[in-house]
Amino acid sequence: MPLVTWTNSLALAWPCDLEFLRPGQFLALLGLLGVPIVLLGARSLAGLGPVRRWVAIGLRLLVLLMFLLIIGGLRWQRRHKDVEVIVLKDESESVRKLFRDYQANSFDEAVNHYLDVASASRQRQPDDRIGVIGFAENATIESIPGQGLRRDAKPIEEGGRATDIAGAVQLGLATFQHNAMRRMLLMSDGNDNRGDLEAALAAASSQKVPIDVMPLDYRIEHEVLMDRFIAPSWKNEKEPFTIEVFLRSTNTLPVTGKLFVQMIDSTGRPAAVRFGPNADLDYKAITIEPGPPAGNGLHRESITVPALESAGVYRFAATFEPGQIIRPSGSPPATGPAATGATLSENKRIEAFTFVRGKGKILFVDNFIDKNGQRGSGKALPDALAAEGIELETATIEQLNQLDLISLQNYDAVILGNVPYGYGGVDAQKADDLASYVHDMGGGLVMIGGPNAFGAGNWQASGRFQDILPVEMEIPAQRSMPKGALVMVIHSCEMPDGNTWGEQCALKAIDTLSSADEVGIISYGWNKGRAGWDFPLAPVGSGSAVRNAVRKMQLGDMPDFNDTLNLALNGDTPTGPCLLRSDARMKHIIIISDGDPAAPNGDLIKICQDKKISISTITVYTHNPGTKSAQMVEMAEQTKGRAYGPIESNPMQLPQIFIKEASIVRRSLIYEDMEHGIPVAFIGDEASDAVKGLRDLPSPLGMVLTARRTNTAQNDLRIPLVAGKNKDPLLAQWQTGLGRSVVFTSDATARWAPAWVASPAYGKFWAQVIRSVARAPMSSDFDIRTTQVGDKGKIVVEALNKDTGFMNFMSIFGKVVGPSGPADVRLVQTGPGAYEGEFDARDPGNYVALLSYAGKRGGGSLLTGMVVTSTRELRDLSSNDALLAQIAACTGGKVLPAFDPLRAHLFRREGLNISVSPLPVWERLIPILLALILLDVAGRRIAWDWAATRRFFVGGADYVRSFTTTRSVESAGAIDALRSVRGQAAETRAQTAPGPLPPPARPDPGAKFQAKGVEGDITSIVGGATDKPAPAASHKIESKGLGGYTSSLLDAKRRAQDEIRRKEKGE
Amino acid sequence: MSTSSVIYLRLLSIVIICLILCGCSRPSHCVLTWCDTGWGDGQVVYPRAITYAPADDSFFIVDRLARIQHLDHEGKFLNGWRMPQWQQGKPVGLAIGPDGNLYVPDTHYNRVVVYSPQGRLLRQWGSFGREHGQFIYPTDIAFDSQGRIFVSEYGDNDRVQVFDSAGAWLYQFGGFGRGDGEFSRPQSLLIDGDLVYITDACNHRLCVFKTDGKFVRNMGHVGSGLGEFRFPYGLDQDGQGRLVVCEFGNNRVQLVDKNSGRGLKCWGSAGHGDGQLAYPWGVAVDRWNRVVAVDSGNNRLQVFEF
Repeated sequence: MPLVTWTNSLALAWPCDLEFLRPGQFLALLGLLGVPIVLLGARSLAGLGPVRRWVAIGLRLLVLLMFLLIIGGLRWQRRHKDVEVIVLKDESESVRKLFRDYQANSFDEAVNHYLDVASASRQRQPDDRIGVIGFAENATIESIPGQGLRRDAKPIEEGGRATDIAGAVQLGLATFQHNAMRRMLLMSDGNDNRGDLEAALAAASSQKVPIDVMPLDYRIEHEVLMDRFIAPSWKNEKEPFTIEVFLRSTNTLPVTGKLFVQMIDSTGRPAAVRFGPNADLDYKAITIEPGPPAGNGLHRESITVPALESAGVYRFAATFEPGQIIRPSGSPPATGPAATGATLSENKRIEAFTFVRGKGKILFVDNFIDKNGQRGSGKALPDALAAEGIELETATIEQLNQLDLISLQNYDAVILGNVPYGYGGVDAQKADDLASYVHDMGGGLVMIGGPNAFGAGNWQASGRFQDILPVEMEIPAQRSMPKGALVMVIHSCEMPDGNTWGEQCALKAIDTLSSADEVGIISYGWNKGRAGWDFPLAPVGSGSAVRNAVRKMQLGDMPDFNDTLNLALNGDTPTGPCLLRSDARMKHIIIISDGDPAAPNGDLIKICQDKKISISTITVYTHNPGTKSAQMVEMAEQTKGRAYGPIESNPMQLPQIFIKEASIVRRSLIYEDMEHGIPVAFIGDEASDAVKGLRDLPSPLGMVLTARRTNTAQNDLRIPLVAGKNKDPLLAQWQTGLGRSVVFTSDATARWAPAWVASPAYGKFWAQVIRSVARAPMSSDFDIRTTQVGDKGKIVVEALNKDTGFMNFMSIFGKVVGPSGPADVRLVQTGPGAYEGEFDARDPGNYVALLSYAGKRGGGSLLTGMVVTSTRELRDLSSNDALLAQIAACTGGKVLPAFDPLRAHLFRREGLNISVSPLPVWERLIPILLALILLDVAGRRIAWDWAATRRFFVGGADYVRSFTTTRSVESAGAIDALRSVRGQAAETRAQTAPGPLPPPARPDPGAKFQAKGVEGDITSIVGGATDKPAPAASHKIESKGLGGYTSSLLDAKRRAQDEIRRKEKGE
Repeated sequence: MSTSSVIYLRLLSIVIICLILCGCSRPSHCVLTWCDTGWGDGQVVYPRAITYAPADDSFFIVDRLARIQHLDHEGKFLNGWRMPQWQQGKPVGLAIGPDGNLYVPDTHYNRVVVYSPQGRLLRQWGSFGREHGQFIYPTDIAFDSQGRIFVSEYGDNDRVQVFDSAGAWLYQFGGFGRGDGEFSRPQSLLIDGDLVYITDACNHRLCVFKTDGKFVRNMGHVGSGLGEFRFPYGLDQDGQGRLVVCEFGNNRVQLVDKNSGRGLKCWGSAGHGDGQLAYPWGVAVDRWNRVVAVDSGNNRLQVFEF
């Protein structure tokens, strides 16, 4: 066995491992350093004797071992044998609507019962855990893994329109705790249509998490679904054409039914396509034959659309109404789907659209108002353009917001007149659509000013849209501008995700302000017990400080507004920042709350009225749904602010409201000189078609201040007209992506431009502006079809010129804008004059593609698109058991029978990988290492006296025993004997006591040892060495052994003591 | 053994015995913590009200999950249930009636709900409105010696309504305002004899009324010193008749002389440690004079003695 393998297996068997060293490296280091220690120790420590030497070497090896374990990062591997099961429950639309094979009132009940019974299995140990994740297009934890199933978490919405098994598996892996053996149970129909399942299974497999699967089997035997709807992308006016509908049947017998086709023209008027010899039927009776294989063939119906009289986008909707299955005579009658041959209404409708070429149209969104707030002044523009041969289709902001991206293709250009952005204006989605329409679809845009346009209309917060405009709405800080002051009171903690929404609203409002404007944020601070500044009123500046403050906000439960308003108006110190001490021209307060706090004092409201400080209130998620909070409404009404709400269902609108309210302080961007007008200047070198032939334009009375773009590398930016002493842009235009946009920062009505409206140049000027941006007409050399094929959209282009024939070797590419955003598409040539390309089309919605082409005869653009009416959820008419079996196989799981809890064995241990969690223990080895080093030194430096050690321990044991041993009671005789001995001893001491002893004489170092009271040589008495030469041995000394030698010494000592005692007694 | 060793051993024994005895007895200011964060039994998420049931020395609490939990005198879970509806909001008060049942001002459903201690729904009354017997955000309930039921409410009403024991409306007093006899968010009620004590939260004071609705006096004003209040929410009294006031704004519990309004002692400060409070909403005192503070922001109860 290779060393590495062997050491690795060894490591697995041990409950420890090393974080920074592999076992092989560890053993190699141990050997590499250990051998020299042994060899050198054996030589250098030879003087210690064998025992001490090897003890010292052993200690050194232990020191080395500890050292290597420490630097290797020793970890104790805790092994966990509890089982944690996470159930992945498919809640997609297909399961909800197609799976019926359970014995309960609902799918949820069936699952709950199954899990309850399966959880009560005898295999389950007390600490085993179970949790549930529900998934459809998103996965959500429904029950956090625990010892019991807690189902009180909010479930995901029913019937998600996609199935993302991969997302559920990934969430399950992330939810597992690491102190248990892990298993998943996937309850699904296997019709996965989103996410990267392969990657998710690889992750589960690598983490050794088996996934058991419980297939939710179904097969829809009686269904007719609309498979495909093909309409030409482009057709000419007054030219009939054909559209095709493909139907698919799962029946084994022919099915009859009616096919209805509805057409909606560019103005939104619906009309039915007529059938029959006399065009007297609004449906077509069809019979769908079962086709190979197994009755799943496609049935094609061609429908002729009569010549269309006007240009624009025409939508078609085909609907199938099932009739009945044609049964052989004598067959028993059937009911329901078995009789009609169709099951799901969702699969009976399909849509497509066609662009019809004709005279171009211009959309004019008229939001102009006069000085008195009345509408109608904008009519001057369409009237003047009509004289120039340009027809405008006038719409309101609400109508614009209802147009989708396809409907926008009806128009060659869009004019926005005094239109604001955000709440009450163009919504965020439509602003994005307009940006796509211009930048990606080649449409034209004209934005005309007014009191609600540009920066004064919040467009600086419009995200992608502002990037397509040739001017910036943020005025450079160097310009001296009147500023505004905004205080936001955030009390959104009672609504769902209230802190997040509060933060988002505040951030959006800050984005609305200019750097010179002042902003302050107030919330209730729990640790102060009162309202406090999260950000004291101060200029926005770069915005980073206030944004950081917003992100740190901890919203408290505000008890009343009195404290809050007092802080906003008067500050928290006599000189602190507050609205009353601010020099801002516009002062405004926004309050978001559930309306729970108590009303403010009347004197504070009076101050607001006197100082013209307005308060707008936004009531969110009030505790009494549908009712407005009285104090919120009163605060707004009394200070001439606005009262919004109650907002209880769609918090997405909150940031837009904040943007709108924050823009009140941006009214300072409006520049008016109603008496003298604002002088206009031509920039001579800025050549522009828009002002060609025009000179001496009248001065407008007002405009919205904007700034030149400074961060663009495009060199086609033109600003031919400027106004005012600072030469602010009045007219600017540029190419942005595939389209062009123009801005005119004054207005087009008598409010700001009375002299212009009366001028004969007015109509000519606007006609030139619009013609400079309008989209060029499409070439008729191309036939384009876009169809849905599975999860893909397929574009087919046939390029055929009437004169030159097939147009080959062209470059065709472009963008597809769908529900998920824009995506690139490139077409490749597949035949003479034929080009094809594909794009992802998984989500239902409109897909519009603008293709650019280039060839020998020049270039241009092509517009096409398609509609995806339903997801694949209900189009897969049977469960995908094969995929589920594959999931089980590649993760080591099992395929379980549906809703049979007794055979589920969710908590079985077999096949599970014991979970191991490492605990670093190397730090605990450090004191051991230090102790071993000390022992190593001590072992070599200290010669241990084992006898003394023994005596020490014996003495200690005796001492302890003296406390713990029970003495026996001595007899009276024994006590008497002891007393007698003690008395004799005392008497002896009394006789021999000589009184105080003299101090000892200083010893003579040169004297030989002389025993006191012994005359002559003591050696003659006790024996031993003398200073005389020893006599030669007369005979061989007999060895008496150790005992004999010791006893003779003791005898000699005893004799000497007896002799001394006798001498002392004078004997 | 030497004399010094004997002395040493004796001293050591005394010290050990003292330590053991100290561990057995609870110092007077020791803080206990009941409940922790979670959805389980004995766990809470932002508890908001508490009441003491003297019959069995237990407590009822309600939290932001609208769960009512019954705890014994050691804070151990006995039983619990959830309010019938909670999407609009959760109760902010609880009270034990003379009949031993639990009266819940179901604040955001504008009604009073009565449960048995076991959690059985017995009855309910009230609806949204400004008329007699209607409520806008009822906050607390109290009972006088005659069995009459006092219900405080805020929202637009800011009043106390009085019902007989059967729930029939009798009379009301108070109204929104800052003057005498007016309230701004009357949060808690306490009836002692013929006096009704009310925490007038947003006026930062205690109000005293006769049970017949006649205004007697106000006590305290906004501040952080003794005798001052900042958003007083919870209210109870100890065995010596002193008021125990829980201050939402000052994050503390204050002991107040109920006759003079003089602040006697304070307990707690803002924070998350032992002996600290975050957003305390309620307070209850048991028969051993232990004070149980609802430490809402810290998702726990804290038990202490003054």
